[in-house]
Amino acid sequence: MGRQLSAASRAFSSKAILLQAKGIVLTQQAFNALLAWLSPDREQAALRYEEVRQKLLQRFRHWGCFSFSEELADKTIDRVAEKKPDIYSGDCMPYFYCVARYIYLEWSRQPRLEPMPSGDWADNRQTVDKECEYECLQHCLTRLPRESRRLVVEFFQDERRKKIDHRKRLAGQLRITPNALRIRVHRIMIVLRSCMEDYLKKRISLK
Amino acid sequence: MEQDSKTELGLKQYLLGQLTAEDRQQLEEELAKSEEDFEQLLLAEEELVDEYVSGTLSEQEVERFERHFLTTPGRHLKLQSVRALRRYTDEHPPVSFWARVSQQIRQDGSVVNGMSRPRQLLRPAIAVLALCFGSFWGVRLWQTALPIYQAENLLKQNYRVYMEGSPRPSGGYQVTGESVLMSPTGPQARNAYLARALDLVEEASANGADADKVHEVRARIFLIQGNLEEALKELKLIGATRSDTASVLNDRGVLHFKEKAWLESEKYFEAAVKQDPQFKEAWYNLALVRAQLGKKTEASSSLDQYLTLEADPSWKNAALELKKKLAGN
Repeated sequence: MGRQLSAASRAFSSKAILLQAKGIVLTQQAFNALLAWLSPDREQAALRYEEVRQKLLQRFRHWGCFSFSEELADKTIDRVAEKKPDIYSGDCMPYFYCVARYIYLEWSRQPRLEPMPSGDWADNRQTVDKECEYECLQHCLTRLPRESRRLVVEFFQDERRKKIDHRKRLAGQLRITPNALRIRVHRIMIVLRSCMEDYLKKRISLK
Repeated sequence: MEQDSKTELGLKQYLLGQLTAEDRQQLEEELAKSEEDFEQLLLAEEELVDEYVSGTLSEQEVERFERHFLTTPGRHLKLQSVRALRRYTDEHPPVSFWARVSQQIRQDGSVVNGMSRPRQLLRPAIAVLALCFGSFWGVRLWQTALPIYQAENLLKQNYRVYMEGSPRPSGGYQVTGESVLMSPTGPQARNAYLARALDLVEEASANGADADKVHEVRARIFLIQGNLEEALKELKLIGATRSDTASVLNDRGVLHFKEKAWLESEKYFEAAVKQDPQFKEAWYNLALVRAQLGKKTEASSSLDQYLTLEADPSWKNAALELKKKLAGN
């Protein structure tokens, strides 16, 4: 445990250096305020920092950012660290999530103009043909739990007006509201896409 | 432009870049502050992608979608997944009950086997219809048994057991000299028939088919797929009356064989042949696992027993090849 705390502490210190290397003008006072907000004990603050980062990573993955979740989580922490200390109070996670949502919205709006790092599967999307994407979908569908697979396939049946009526009927069968049905399907799609991302990455690396 | 910031239309306008800078900023503040509103945005993204794939967006909206919306890899992945799902649902439309009945009668020779003349078809057809109309249980049986039958047929038509050391799941599958890696049947075709078989089993289950039978067939599909964890879950769900049948015991043995748990595997194959001494797959598998355990004499003896039961020449050849290897030829 002691070794883990020291390792976390070292990682945390490296992060501080990285922030400065990125040209973020962060006063010592602001940085200490962030640490103190996470925990009065510096070692505990280091652990809490990692916990916050993991939660942000999960949140960005949940929003479909997969390959960029690390970058966006770090950006979120950077943004929070830039804020003045007097706004900090209470549990920090809701604030981090709020800033994370801003980061997501900004990121979604800006097309990625800088070149992708080499080997990044997203930049090779032109080469991922539709047959490959279909094979990937079929593979990942079989990995879903039965009921989830059935629900998501039923949800995407029918077109136009029939689709709306069909989904209302499906929601009625499940005894949930249409919006709750959309949320349920959305969560299944996150799992499906996570599988597809991994599968497509492997297929591209084999080509 | 008039907009209601958090309605579906407002979110769609936002995603297509149709809001003024001021309206966009205001909306983003609202979205960032509220977890619930933000979730509605993510749902709106899903809906927009679906509309694009379905072709219900206007020309202008399509252009905006491609220019303003498809800006991140995450959104491209959303597009890929929805596009592939739409294709999947197009290729697997829900089929009405009577369409299935007539399809089955037209396509499957075993149902109308030997009945070539229309007059000969008429009487059994009337009998089947009378049974279905006259009996609730007849209809129910048809709805539950037919999809299971179709699923098992699909496996039989498509799955081949590789002769080099692969154990045989229960179900009477044919042998092949080509491994999966060398097979011309691509992964897409394999996944397609397995996914279709699973769908049929789900349909049977939803119609109230015998649960043990459902678990058994599902387990077999997962075994063929290589999804051993799911296969084991299904096998464990089979009730006591069926779990001791030779076919289930054999499949259990196959699962442990694939896990390279030789002793466990041998135990199940032995139980299978004890339960049914005529169950040829289990004798063949017993030979395979005994070979793995270095029990050459016992393996050869199991093969001898198997060869008295097997009529298929390809499988007989596979067994004879194995015998040769055991003898060190």
